[in-house]
Amino acid sequence: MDIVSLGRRAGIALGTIALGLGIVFLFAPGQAAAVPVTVLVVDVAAVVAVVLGLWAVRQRLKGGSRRISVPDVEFRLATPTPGDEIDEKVYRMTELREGTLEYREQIYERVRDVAVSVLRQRRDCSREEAEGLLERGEWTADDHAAAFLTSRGSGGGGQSLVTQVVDRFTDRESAYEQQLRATAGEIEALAGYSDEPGTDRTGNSGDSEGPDAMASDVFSRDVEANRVADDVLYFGTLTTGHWSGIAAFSLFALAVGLLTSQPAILLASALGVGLAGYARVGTPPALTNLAVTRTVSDESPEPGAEIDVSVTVENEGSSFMPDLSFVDRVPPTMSVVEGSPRLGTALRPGGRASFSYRVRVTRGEHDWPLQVIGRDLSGSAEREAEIEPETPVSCAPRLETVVDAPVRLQTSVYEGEVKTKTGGSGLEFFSLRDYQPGDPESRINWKEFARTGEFTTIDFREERAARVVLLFDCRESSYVSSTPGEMDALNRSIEAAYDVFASLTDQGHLVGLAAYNGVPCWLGPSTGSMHRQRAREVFAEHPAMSALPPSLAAKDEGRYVDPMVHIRRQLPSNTQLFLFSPLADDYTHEVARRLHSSGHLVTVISPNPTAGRTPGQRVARLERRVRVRRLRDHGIRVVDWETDESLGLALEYARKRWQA
Amino acid sequence: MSTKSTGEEQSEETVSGARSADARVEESQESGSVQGVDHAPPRPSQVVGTATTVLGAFVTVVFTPLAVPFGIAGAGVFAAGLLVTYSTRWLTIGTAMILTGSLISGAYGALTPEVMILAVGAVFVGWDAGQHGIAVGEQLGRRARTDRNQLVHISATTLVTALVGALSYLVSLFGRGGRPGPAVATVVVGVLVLTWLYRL
Repeated sequence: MDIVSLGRRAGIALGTIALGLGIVFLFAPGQAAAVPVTVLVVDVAAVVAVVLGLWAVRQRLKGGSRRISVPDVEFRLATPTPGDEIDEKVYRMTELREGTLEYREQIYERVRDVAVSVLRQRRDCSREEAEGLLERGEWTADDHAAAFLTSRGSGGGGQSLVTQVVDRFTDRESAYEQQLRATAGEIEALAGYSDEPGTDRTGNSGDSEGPDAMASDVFSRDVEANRVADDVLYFGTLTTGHWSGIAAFSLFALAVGLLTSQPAILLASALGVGLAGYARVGTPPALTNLAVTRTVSDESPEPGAEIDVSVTVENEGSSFMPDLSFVDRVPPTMSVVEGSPRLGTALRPGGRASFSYRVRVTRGEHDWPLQVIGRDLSGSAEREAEIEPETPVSCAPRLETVVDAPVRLQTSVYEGEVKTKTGGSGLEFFSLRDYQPGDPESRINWKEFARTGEFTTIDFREERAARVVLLFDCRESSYVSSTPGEMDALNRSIEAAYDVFASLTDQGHLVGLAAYNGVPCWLGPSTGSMHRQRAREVFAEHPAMSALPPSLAAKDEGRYVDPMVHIRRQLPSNTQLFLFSPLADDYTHEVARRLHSSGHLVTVISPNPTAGRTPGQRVARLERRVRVRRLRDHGIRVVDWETDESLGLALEYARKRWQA
Repeated sequence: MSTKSTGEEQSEETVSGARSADARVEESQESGSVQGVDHAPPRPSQVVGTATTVLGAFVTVVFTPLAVPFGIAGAGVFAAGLLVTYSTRWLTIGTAMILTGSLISGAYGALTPEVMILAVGAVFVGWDAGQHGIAVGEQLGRRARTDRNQLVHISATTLVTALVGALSYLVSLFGRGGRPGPAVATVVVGVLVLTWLYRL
């Protein structure tokens, strides 16, 4: 036992004795004469009370009121928007004054590359000519933009100290940001990309409806958990400081009361002391006696479906639980669309309460805990626990569709629906050729033989099945979306792929799945109901296609897989590829080009995750447009799929463009 | 009127399953937006907290001109903290101002013990209700059902405050007739030590 707690016990004993003696004196005034009381003693007591009161105030100010924190489980995981990293660098440069030179250099390089590419496309000139135009500032009429991209300006700068200070204090954009914005606007204008500049200037702060807690604190708990029952985890208790400060009032009131001899004030002080004692006595309730049942309206829903979840809690113990908070920790890939997954209640022994809400599910196996926070009656202590009801929800796509996915003219040896450009057996007339020994009798052109006496053979158009692999770019850079709360590009891709997969198998093609990420994922092209079932399992459970970004998903076997090696080794020849990627960086662009040049026809389906709220996002949007353009120049089909479009519509537009 | 319309809906549903499925899809798209979470304190604690605090402030203020600024400013800060900024710090500062006002009033002897107990008790109840409301708002938000634990918490505090107040008042009644100073002083020392050791 340490000295502090020893002193504390002694103090409590002393105080109790004094209190008891005092009460005895009150009843038996004769005894009281033994205690010497002067004005001085009273004054000293008052001063002591004031000092202690100040100490208590300090404690309140230092501690404040603490609560166990609860994440915003209603929202999906917040994913970044392409270009956010540029804005982050700008922020670090202009506000925090960090890494000024290297960030400036990096941003300059990116913007310059975009500008060169756009200039080369638009002005139809060589790289050297484009660089010359930039260097001389002749590409635009805007002085800011022209200066930004000369090598002397190398990304803005040159502003006086006074302006810098003024900018800092007036919360205005710094000159650098203004220049960057102007440059992005000028390049957009050059690229013929008209977007009302500055329309979403306010969009920066307009994200308030989105989740404010980033995903990381949904996952990481720094408190150690302690398993107290099969399905109950304790996370320890917390003294909330709810009543902290009341002792300060009591002490001040005591001092004032002593000095002024006002009984009313002494009474107020006594009230404070009584409540302080009340705050002390409670302990948070044990949460092991809670029985939780969770029911879902559908245990194996379709991705994107909405299911109703209802949770019932019952107090099976024998003590009253005065203050309980329940939060169902909905997985970050789901979003709540109706109701609230939270409940505050009090449960007497045998009492039960329930709440229900509706969530939109995503693919995968889901099992989530219920967070419980129990408080004592006075609210001064909290205990946190997690209860794990066994209600797994398994969500796999059904792979049925009405969307029509267009395949290209690269086929397998199997009969199918793709009308090839070769003659042979089939239905539709293709050509006439000279007879060669061995041609089937039925295809000999007997009319021609009757007329001229020469054998000719009719060729019909061969109809073959295509062999298609759907390839997903599952790297971290694909988990991006145009607004933080929206579904990210990879998940949009995969949900779109259900339709594409189903459509292609319905057309009789051989379809496979592959992904590149830390985990290799390969399902060779095939057909049939078993294959469809295997594909459903890959979509729902394969770690490479996790609904969570690799940095947040389970950290196992995180190793680099080179798609060039991993996919090309397994890819049968004459296989087409549908490559799903937001094209948020150059890597996938390179993958598409290499696969294309090794003889596979590639169709890139690219959900557009870019936005134009900030200069950085606008630069990233330009970069993506340049990539799309370059892929198209290489003969790779690109379906640029906008956020608010359905994939069916995007494919329809693309088909029209390809046929034109 | 209303029964008729529900009857029609039912018949429609039974007539064509496809149509009702369409309707459900439309409905789900309408309700499909993500339900956020509103971390405001729930209404009951806002109402109880503000009302009792304003009552307490009014009672202390009304008898002494010097306490008026403290009472009004304190109630204002408190109400702003509970209704606008959702900050327990504001609540505590507001409460402290009102209580300072009450001590000033008390020091001038303007408050009878009964009024004092009522005023300070009301301020405590308001402070507690407000803090609890903010905690519930942070953890559960306003969209969740939280009536029961708020009700239990607020009534428990009210009850305990009333009990402690009544008890102290009875003791003070007992001691009013010619209390011996030394006895009171000993009690005070005891209370002082215990409060300090049980400080919160």
